[in-house]
Amino acid sequence: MSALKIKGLSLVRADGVTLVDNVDLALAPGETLGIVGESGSGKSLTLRAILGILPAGITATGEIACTARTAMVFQEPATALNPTMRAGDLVARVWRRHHPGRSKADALTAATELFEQVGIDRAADRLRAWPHELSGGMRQRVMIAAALAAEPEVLLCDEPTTALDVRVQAQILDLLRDLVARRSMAMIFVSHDLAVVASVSERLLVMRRGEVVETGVLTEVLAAPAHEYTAELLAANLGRRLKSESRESRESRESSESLGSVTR
Amino acid sequence: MKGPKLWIGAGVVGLYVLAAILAPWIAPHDPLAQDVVAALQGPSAAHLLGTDELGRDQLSRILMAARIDLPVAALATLLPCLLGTALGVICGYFGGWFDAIVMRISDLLQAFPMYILMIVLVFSLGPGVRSLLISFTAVGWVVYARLVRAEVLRIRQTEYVTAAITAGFGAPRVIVRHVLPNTLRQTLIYLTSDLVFAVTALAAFSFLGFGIQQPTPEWGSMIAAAQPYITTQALLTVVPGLVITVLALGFALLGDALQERKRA
Amino acid sequence: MGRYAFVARRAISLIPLLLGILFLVMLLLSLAPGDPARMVAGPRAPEAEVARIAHELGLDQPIWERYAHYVVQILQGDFGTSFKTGQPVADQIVAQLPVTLTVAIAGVLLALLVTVPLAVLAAKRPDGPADHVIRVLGTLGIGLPTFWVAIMAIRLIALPTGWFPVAGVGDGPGQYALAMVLPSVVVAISITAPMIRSLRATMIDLHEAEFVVAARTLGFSGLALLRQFQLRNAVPPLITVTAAQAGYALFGTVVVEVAFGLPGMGQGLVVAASTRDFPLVQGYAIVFAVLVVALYLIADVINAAVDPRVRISA
Repeated sequence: MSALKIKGLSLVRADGVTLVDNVDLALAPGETLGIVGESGSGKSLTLRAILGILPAGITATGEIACTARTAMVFQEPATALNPTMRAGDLVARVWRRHHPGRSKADALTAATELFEQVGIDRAADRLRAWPHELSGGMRQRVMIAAALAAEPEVLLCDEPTTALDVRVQAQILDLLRDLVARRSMAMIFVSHDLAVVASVSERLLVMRRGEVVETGVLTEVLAAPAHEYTAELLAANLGRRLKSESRESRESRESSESLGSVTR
Repeated sequence: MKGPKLWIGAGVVGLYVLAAILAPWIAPHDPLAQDVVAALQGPSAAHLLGTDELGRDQLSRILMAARIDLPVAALATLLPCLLGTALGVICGYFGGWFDAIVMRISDLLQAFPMYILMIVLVFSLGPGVRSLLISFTAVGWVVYARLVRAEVLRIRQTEYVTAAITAGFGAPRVIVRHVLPNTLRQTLIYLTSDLVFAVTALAAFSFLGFGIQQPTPEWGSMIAAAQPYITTQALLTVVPGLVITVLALGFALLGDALQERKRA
Repeated sequence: MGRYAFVARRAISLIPLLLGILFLVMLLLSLAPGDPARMVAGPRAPEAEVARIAHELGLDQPIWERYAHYVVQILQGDFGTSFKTGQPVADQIVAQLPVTLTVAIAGVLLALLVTVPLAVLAAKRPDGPADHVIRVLGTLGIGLPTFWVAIMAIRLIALPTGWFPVAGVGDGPGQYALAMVLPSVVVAISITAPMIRSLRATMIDLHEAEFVVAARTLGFSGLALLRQFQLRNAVPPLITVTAAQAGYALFGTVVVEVAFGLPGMGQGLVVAASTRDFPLVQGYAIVFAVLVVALYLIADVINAAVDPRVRISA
């Protein structure tokens, strides 16, 4: 049984341009799937099609069978959070929507717990923070907490670390890995960065210009890419990754700063 | 939706212009000829729209009023447009202390309730066409100046203008050949919507007694004169009002059509 | 920065603007033809008498001194005395202020009441049938001359039904309230269309906003989505356009008061202008200007209350 199954999904823009072409995809419960591809490859649109939040003017054909509860973490937490709603209110309200009949006090307790789960320290204080008062990493943690409040069985992540700086990126990736394992959620993680995708996925799906060019178990694909585009991605990533990793380890030794901080 | 708006708007305005030009020939009576015995009569074969409180032919007065309302409204938008464009070009192109002064004045004028300012101005200058035009110009130039100045600042940065300047062409030539054609479009759209305001505001000022004075036929002052007879001869009030409304709608449709065309 | 500090700072920053407006009014009025001292003295008074009155009114001083003098006077609540009635200008304005404020405020509130549902409806399906109907109504609203609508309201509603006083404010609070109904509606008609247009555009933008899309994926829909995510964020632009339109409403009250024969500041200004009563015109102009500046301040306060970012960025 799969939590999510896509068959022959195609997305066409109003002017006739095909953005996603005949994509098949299946996700088992608790499985983590990474989708990698350059910008414009249709990976984010595929994710949005699953949730039924395609931008206006794009029509979808094909089959999407999704029995699982889903929630999404967006690329840019600064725009994905309502600027006029306190962080804790958002999480508490989402929680109440998915736990009908429960009191506001329960929702507040749940929100505090979720804040702690996503690694927001001083959770009780941060509940009352406005999004613009939080750092990028903190905002993304709030977004993840809001997604978790919906009790998803499948967590969809659309480039959730792209807008963050490298150190925070690593923290968020750690958090997602940890949450997926602890809650036995399934996850689809979309990114243009193969290294990032590889660090959180069991299975890999490579997209290019709206088509799936390769899919398989992560380690196998990385060891022996069947498609030359995958090989290119791998080669390009390897060099860059090595450089950035050495810099990262130096940085993390230098600063032992705690997770994000409130900016004012 | 685009086609009909443009044609209906242009048709309405064209009809009014035609009526204004032909008024002396198609008006059945002398608009100033009084006949107190035949005052306040309803519509008849001799007076299609009846007669006013002094026995003047209403239809003739409405037609002849087009010769006042149309050109005054047109001037009341053209003059501020010309002054604003000139100031905007000078400010945007040359900058410096002149720009600073003009912009401070425009700040002040924008903060001021423009209608009150216009009433004060008309009061100072005395009622009549001349004061109306001065006060419309004194208040109305601000928007055009800001519009044109912003556009000039933008265009100055573009390559072809820089090229024209480095090629040794003088400022006037560069402005006329390269800058003005680009600002014209924006200005024209605003001008059309401004005409809607001018038509109704001109009538309103005359209604208040600050505008065009009796016995000169003018729609607003005709309504003011007819107001006491609203119960007995409502037509005297209704028709001039409709005439103003239709003309204003004609300009509004034109403005909408231009705006939509720009977006498309 | 806290919200009180923010409001206080905005209020202080408006003072130079007020002083500038005050100077502009004096400057413009000093251009007016006719010697105010001669008007007070009467056409047959001897020159010496005119000169004495001019001195008494401070008219023989340079404009800067008169300006400084006037500012000090106004701060003490003294707007001078009317040439015609000899009454203090301030008394007359204070007596007329409630009518104008009631009509303008009720008109703006009414306009908001109509704007929000219609704009939300129009934005729900852009280019749908409701959107088209609302757009046509909007165009009509822009084209209708306010003073004519006022007269038509008297003829078509007030006179046939007999429910509303036709001229003036009648006797007692009940009549007063009734007398405000039609003028407020007319003012609302004159200002609503641009407000609907603006809010509609905002709502359409917000429909596609990432945080609204995100909210939908998190299970928000219907009224909760509309209220907590869309409308709340639509408030700042709506307040901006409402403030601009409220300024226009003040002009609307001038013609509406004249058409309905209401004893408000608008009618007072028109009468003062036609009788060339300088101190009165000056007083009205300044009070109207203060009202508009107060409007900006109110708009800032509301925005600061709704949008947490405003308090910091300003």
